[in-house]
Amino acid sequence: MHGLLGVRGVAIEISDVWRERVKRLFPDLQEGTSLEYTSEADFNYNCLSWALGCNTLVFENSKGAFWMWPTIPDDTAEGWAQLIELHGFTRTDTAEAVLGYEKVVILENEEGDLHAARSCENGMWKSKLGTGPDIDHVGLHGLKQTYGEVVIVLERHRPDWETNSES
Amino acid sequence: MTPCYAHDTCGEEHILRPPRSKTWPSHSHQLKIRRKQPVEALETPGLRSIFNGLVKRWRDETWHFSSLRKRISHPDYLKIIGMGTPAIPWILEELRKEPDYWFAALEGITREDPAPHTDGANRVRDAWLAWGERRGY
Repeated sequence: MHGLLGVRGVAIEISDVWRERVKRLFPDLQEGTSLEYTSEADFNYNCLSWALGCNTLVFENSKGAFWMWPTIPDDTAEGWAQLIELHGFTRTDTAEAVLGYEKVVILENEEGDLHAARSCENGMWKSKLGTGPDIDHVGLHGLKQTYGEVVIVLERHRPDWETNSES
Repeated sequence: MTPCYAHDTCGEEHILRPPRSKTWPSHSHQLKIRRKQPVEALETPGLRSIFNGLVKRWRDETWHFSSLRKRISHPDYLKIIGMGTPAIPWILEELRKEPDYWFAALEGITREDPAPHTDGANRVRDAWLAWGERRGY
């Protein structure tokens, strides 16, 4: 069931295997209500690169991945925030939607696992789930069980979002 | 026929060495058996099913991580590396059917690196699959 979230023309079907994997780790996200799949599973990029709009590289200092910032740690929330700042974002206190601003949040769980998500113009969030699919989701609560709490929020001005074309 | 040295007083004649038994394996045959044994043992369905189980659990427990380093340091991934050479064709098969980060495992087992300065995961995957074809996997 797709299209209920106003994500026009982007929601797709994914395999049952991936649907089950996502359901198991993100039980608070309900497909068609608070979650839409927007890509097949793809191991060519990760949540950090996707938060910056890249879907061809994994941003990490590892084999088969990409990391061209030797002075920035690739495995800490602070390091990720520094990289995101290089892309025109500044730190802010709230992940609440603000017209004309794009936000990126960094989440961290108790084991130190990191996740990044970015806001859409229509107020939803975009996440790449590990090596799995991309999703659009309502709010950030549904990520909490697996990815933990929001620890850093960044934003950048998007003049092209000041008149909300989705409405 | 030669005299019997053990019975030098018995006056009997015996064959000094008994004729070689036809059922006793020749030296070259023994070598053949020695070479074959490990391969036969490793090709048992048991090992393949252990591999499949490790892959499934590794995927289930790590697919959501953004960190490749965390994924490839998972105990099941390390066990797969520990299976050594027999796991290579199975890993290449996984790489073909459900692409994932098998590069560290392949590099660890083979001590080769067919894509030393490549960034994109798909390009590294293609390099390993081509390597497998060259090696007859």
